[in-house]
Amino acid sequence: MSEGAGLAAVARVRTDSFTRVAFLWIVPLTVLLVGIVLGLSLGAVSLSPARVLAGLTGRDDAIAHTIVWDLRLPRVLIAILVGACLAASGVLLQGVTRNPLADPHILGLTAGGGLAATLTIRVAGDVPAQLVVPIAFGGALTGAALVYGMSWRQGVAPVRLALAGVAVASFLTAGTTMVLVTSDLRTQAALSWLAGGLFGRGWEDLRTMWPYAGGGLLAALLLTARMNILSLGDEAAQSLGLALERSRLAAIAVAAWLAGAAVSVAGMVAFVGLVVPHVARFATGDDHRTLLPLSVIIGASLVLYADTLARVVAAPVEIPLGIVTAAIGAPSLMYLIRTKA
Amino acid sequence: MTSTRSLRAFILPALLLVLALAALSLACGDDDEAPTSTPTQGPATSAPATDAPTQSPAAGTEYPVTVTDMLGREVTIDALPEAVAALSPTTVEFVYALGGTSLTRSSSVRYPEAAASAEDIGPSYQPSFEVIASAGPDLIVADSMLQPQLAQNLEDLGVPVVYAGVAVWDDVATGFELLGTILDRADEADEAIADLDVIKADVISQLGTDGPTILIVNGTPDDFYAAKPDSYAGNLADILGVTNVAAGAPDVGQFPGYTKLGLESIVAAEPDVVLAISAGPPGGATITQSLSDDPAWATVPAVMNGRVSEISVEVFLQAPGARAGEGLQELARLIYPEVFGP
Repeated sequence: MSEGAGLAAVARVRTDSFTRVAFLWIVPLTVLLVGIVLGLSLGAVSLSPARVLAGLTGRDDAIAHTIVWDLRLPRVLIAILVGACLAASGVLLQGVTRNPLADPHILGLTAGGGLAATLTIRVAGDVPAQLVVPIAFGGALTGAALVYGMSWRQGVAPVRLALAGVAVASFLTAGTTMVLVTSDLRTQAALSWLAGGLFGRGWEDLRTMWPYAGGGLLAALLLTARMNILSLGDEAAQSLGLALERSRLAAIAVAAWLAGAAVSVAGMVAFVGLVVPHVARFATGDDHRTLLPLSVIIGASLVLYADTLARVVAAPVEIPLGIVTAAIGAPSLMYLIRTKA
Repeated sequence: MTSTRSLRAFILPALLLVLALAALSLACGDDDEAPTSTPTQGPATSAPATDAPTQSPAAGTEYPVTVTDMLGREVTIDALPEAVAALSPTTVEFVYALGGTSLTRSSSVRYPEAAASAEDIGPSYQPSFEVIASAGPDLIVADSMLQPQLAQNLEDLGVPVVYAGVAVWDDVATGFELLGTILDRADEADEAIADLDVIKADVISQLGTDGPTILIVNGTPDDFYAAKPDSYAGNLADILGVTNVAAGAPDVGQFPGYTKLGLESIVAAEPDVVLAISAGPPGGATITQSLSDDPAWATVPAVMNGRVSEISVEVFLQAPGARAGEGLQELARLIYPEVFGP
């Protein structure tokens, strides 16, 4: 083999990996950026691009400033964080249970957060948002602890973890429904966010949630190498010196952390944690070091686009975010199943 | 062993970092809140001097005026509001009854006709803040029965927010008085309140001592709730000296003041009059129709004597308030046809 041919081969590999990187990262990031622009430009009130820009950059156009800066921008940012958290939580849960159906919704984490918030508002009445976040959060962690405890029998086997998750989720969701059904109109109105959606969310909510979301995402990133070893199977992981139970516990705790952050502002938004990791896996494979960041970007886009649609489609009425994420997510999952499997 | 240690090594810092971030954000939150909350609290010191409802009507409202709204919030309004955004059927009707206009209305507002051209903000329990902001109001009138949970969102729009709402008859006068002060329409408010008093006194003066037993139901033919005396419709009927079948029952269902009564206890209570507020699309099935078709109801005196009537969803459920006088007169006609004629 001549030297020239070797160099050409190296060059080809380089170009290939460049194209791969471009498609893997540049396309999703562009989609996200376009989503941000759309999210700021569209709404119940139609503003010209000039007014959107004016509202974003200054206070001269007071109405545009209120609409773009105070109403749309925080919602866009919260949608991004919620999507990122749910997707990351899904990646961790699917990895740790080695079950493609695992997601924070199915495993009772969002249900735990929902029930905790519902009970608090039902019992205590008006609860400030700054308190709802940690409470929903504690609920999600409690849900995770229940799942973990129920599946413990000299260690937690992935199958038991998944089954216990489904059981705990059904139980907690039934509890939430019970509280909601027996509430009066005013309590129901106070709890309407639980149904899934970002109605009325603003800077205050972003300020409360971002440390939870940011911390959780960071912790998830730090876990990725461990997740790769876990996904090799218990024996292989153990033979590589991984502390199996502690790693699982860490992954579940971080997943619950992320789910709690999401549910505390967005209520129960179904399907994101389930479908996004599959989409990302389709693009990049099973390496969690790329799977997780890519899922985070795709999840952020999914919730951002879904929330923009929810605001715009039937304006001035908002349709529930969960319906839109399911309407986008379910067909994409079906498509992946049909073409990939 | 090594992996255990390394795991602990990164989880601890991660936790600490997050806690630090949370503490930081709480601290930031406090800083941000301080300046925004002072302007609304500052002028409150002048409250005793301008405690508006005690002013004589002729003097008019002097701005800035500080009022206590129907959620118990203190609100200061700096100048006569010229662009009012009312957000519910009750508040829209209040504003128009005082001779004002509203830039906005919720989707379900059907009255008055002049309000039809106002901007539709969507359902009153989940209005579009964008549409409210784009209307450019200098005063927002929100509904204390339907929208208390939106207070923070509405205040964030940077415009004074006043809450008014009606649970029972007496709240109507309170609402008129409050908005009359704020909108410098105290004369119109006093007139409206006087009208209400005249109607009430007139109706009561013609009543006998023994009122009939009545049942007021709301919902669909298959699933309905009974209005207790502390609901709006029940309260108006109560003024007319009726015996309410649902009195004393616990609140059940979505609406405060409503309860669920079993058919057996309704039959046993023998209501002389049944009034129905049918939900659902206009022209759809009404409770009245289904009652007369149902053999189980056949022994109820109201059904036997043809004393089952539909009453307005708008006046008695969706938009309690400015049309209370009208509502009281309608109830009087239906409950005492021998006195108030058909």
